Amino acid sequence: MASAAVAPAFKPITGMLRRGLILDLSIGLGLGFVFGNAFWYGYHMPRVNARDAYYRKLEEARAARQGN
Amino acid sequence: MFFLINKLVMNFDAPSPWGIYFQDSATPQMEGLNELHDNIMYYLVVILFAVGWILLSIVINYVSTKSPISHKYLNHGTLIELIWTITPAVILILIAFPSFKLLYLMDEVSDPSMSVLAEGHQWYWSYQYPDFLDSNDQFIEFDSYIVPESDLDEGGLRMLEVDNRVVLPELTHVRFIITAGDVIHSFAAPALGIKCDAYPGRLNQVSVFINREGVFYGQCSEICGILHSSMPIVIESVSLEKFLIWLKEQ
Ligand SMILES: [Cu+2]
Repeated sequence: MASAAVAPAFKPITGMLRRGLILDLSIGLGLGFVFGNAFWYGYHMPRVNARDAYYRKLEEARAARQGN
Repeated sequence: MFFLINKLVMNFDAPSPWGIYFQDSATPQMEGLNELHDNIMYYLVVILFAVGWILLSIVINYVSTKSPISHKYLNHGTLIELIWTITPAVILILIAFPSFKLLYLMDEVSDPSMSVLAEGHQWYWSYQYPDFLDSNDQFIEFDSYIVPESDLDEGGLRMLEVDNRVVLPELTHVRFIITAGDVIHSFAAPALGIKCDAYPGRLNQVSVFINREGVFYGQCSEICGILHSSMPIVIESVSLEKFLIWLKEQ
């Protein structure tokens, strides 16, 4: 192994790809889930709740009319 | 002023200026479509940020001035290619299942209590209620033309109002039978989650179960000539009692 005696011109860069990939995927997916949940709980759920409340109100009004 | 009253007091199921989301749903199928859309939107936001971040990271970290040799290791990678092929496939399958379920559910015409025939013409819709007879023992039948802007009542919706509305009872399974007299049209009402092409010489059907009272606006949705934009659809959903009164008036 003649080359072992020569000092490497670059420091070894193994492992950087994997570490970077895991870090980037975590950040990317983390951001995604944060904004996805923001959409789900900030927009979707209030709409669904408002709709359900509206139909509950309608149902109660209907029941009250039929009760009389 | 009337515009403000409309906004605050009256619930028009019609497009709103600058609106980018769905109209409020009025049928189970539109609720299903809403739910499916929001579910997919969730996945979509996650993917958007994951892909966006990685793209940004690659652009920043592997720019040639910064890391001249790094591309050497990025020419080929069987494992990562498998991952980025199989993962989207799995996500697509996850989206496809609820989508198909909803599609077939909406196709079902379950035991309708009444039918309405809608026929598209250049450029108006005509309707027939084949289950009911009018005072002359004829099927209830009428044409539905747009109300031109010059004749609009105050607060009326431009390019959406018609002279004769389709009146339907709420909480009733109604079947629309859809056809056309001349060219292809499309019968659509966003709040009801229906859109069905109207072909000359062919009968299509969609079923609706409107779960509240309201006035639902739609438009012809297949380009059918110069006044394609001037043949709107207005469906008025009323209580059964009011529907019977309306029937008696015909
Ligand atoms: Cu048309």
